[in-house]
Amino acid sequence: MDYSKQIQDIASKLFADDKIDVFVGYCMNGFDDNQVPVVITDPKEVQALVFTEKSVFNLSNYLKADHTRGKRVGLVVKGCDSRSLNLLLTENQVKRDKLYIIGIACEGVVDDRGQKMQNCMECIVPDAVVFDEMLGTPKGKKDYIVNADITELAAKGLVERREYFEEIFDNCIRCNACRHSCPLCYDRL
Amino acid sequence: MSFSTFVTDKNGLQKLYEAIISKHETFAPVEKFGKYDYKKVSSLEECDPDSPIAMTMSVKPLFFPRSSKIIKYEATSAGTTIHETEQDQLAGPRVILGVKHCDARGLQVLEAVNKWDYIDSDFLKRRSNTVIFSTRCDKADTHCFCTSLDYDVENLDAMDVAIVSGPDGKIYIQARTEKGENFLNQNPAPGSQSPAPSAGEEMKKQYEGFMTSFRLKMDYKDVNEKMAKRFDSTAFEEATRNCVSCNTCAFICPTCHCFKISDEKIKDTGVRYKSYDSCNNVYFTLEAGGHNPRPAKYRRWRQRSMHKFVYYKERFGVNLCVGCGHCAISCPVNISIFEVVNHVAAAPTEV
Ligand code: SF4
Ligand code: SF4
Repeated sequence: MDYSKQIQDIASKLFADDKIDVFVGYCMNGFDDNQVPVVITDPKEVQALVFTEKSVFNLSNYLKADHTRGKRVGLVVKGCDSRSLNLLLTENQVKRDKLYIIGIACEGVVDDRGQKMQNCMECIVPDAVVFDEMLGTPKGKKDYIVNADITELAAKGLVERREYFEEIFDNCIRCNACRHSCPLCYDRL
Repeated sequence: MSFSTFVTDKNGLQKLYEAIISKHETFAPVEKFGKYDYKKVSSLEECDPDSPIAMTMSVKPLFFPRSSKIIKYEATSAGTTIHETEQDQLAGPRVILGVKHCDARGLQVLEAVNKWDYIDSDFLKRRSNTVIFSTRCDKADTHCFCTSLDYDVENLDAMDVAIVSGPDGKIYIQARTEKGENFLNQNPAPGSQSPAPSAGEEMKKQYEGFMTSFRLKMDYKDVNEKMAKRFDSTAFEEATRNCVSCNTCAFICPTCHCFKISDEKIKDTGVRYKSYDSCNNVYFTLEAGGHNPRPAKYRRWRQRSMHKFVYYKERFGVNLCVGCGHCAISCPVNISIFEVVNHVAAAPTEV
C-alpha cells in the first residue's frame, strides 16, 4: 500500500487550482521509517507527502486546530479515520464543502515494529465512507462484529468489570492527553 | 572529598539491593502493561532497577507529586478555618533504586527553581531524606541526547550512589556524594572489594562505546545563543504545526514543573490541590476576563522551548532539559524537542 505519488499529485493540483488553503497528510519523520502528520500551506512542500502502511495517525484530529479552522482543507482518511470525520460532519464541527477528502481503501496499518495493528485485523470498514476521490480497490464492508476482548469484558460481572477498569486506570496519570489526541473530543483548543 | 568505589558482580549487587529493601523504605521501577513507574517495593522480585530508559517514567513524581493536597479547609458563614493535610507520605527517609542518570540530573536541575524565590520546603525535604541509587544505560535509545547537554553523564553527582556495569560481568558501586558514602558505609555491599587497578582503563573503553551509540548530538551552547536571537522566528510555527497540544510531553518530563491549584469543595469543607499543568496547554494563560496572551499553539511551544534552552539557562546556569528523550517517545505525533530547538537554531534571524 503506497499512495505517496498519487497524493502528492492530487495535493499539487488542489493548490494549483486554488481549491484548498491547507493540506493535512503524512511525511517521514526524518530519521527512521516512521511518519509524522504534516500540515502543509506552501505548495512547494507537497513533495514531502507519503502514504504507506506506516500512516497511522488519524488526521481528522487536525480539523479542530487553528491551522485548519474555517479554511479549505485537503485531507487523507483511511476507513477508520473517515468514520470519525463523519461524526464531526454530523455534529456540525466541520463543513463538508470546505473539505477535499482523499479516501483510502485501506489494507491495514502497522505499529513501530512492523506488526499489523490488532484493530486493523478486526476492522469492518476498511474503505473510507466519505471522500471526493478514492485510492485503492474498495473491499466493501464486513459484517459487524464485536471485538473479542469486548465480548470477554461484557461477559464479566459488575464487580469484575470494575476491578478490570480500576487496574487499567491505576496507571493513569491524568494528563488528559487521550482527550487532546482524540478527534471527537473537540472542545476548542 | 573523594568517594569510595566498590567492585562486585551481579550476585553481590542483588544481595545489596535485597538488604536495602529489607531495611529501608525503598522505591524502584515496577512494570505494568510494559511500562515502568516508581513504586514502593517490598522485594526485589517486584521491581527491575535495570528497567529500560525508554519504558521508564521519570522519578520526578516522588519529589513533585502529580497531584497533592496542600490544605484542607472549612468555610462557613462563621468564617474559614484552615487545617494541615495529613502527613507527607514522601518526606520520610527512603531509598530509590534504578534511577537513570538523566532522570537524576533532572532532580538536580529542578532544585534550582525550588530553592529560589519561593522555597518549596516539601520538595527539598523529600530530596534531603532520599538516597538515590542510579543505573547507567549501556547504550542510547532512539531519542536520547543526554551526552549533548551541560552535564557530565559519567561523573554526575546527581545520584548518591551510581551502579555502573563494567566489562566481564563486573559491577562498580560508586559513592557520588557524602550521603551516598555514608549510606554505603552503613550498608556495605556483600562480597565487594575496592576496584582492581585496571578498572579505570576498562571503564573508559566501555564509556567510549556508550558515547558512540548516540544518534543525536547537539552543541547546546550554540543552540542557547541562537535561540535567544530567534524569538520572532517563524521556525517555531513550522516545527510545531502538527502538535495536538496534548501536554503529554510536559507530564512525563523530568524537569517540567508548571502546576495549577484547584479547590474541591463539598458543602462547607474543601481540599486545595496542587497538580501538574503545562505551558503547552491553551488554558494555561487564559485569563478570567477571556484574554489569552499566548493564544496560538506555536507561542506556547516557543515558551516551552525557550524556557528550557534560554530563560532557565540565563537564570540558573543550566538547561531545563536533560536530554532523556521521554517527550519524543511519548508524543502521539513524534515531535522531538531536539528537532524543534535545532530547527529554530538553524533558522535565519531575519524574518
Ligand atoms: S524536554 Fe524532553 S528531553 Fe528534555 S528533559 Fe523534558 S522530557 Fe526529557
Ligand atoms: S506530546 Fe507532542 S503533541 Fe502532545 S503537546 Fe507535546 S509536542 Fe504536542
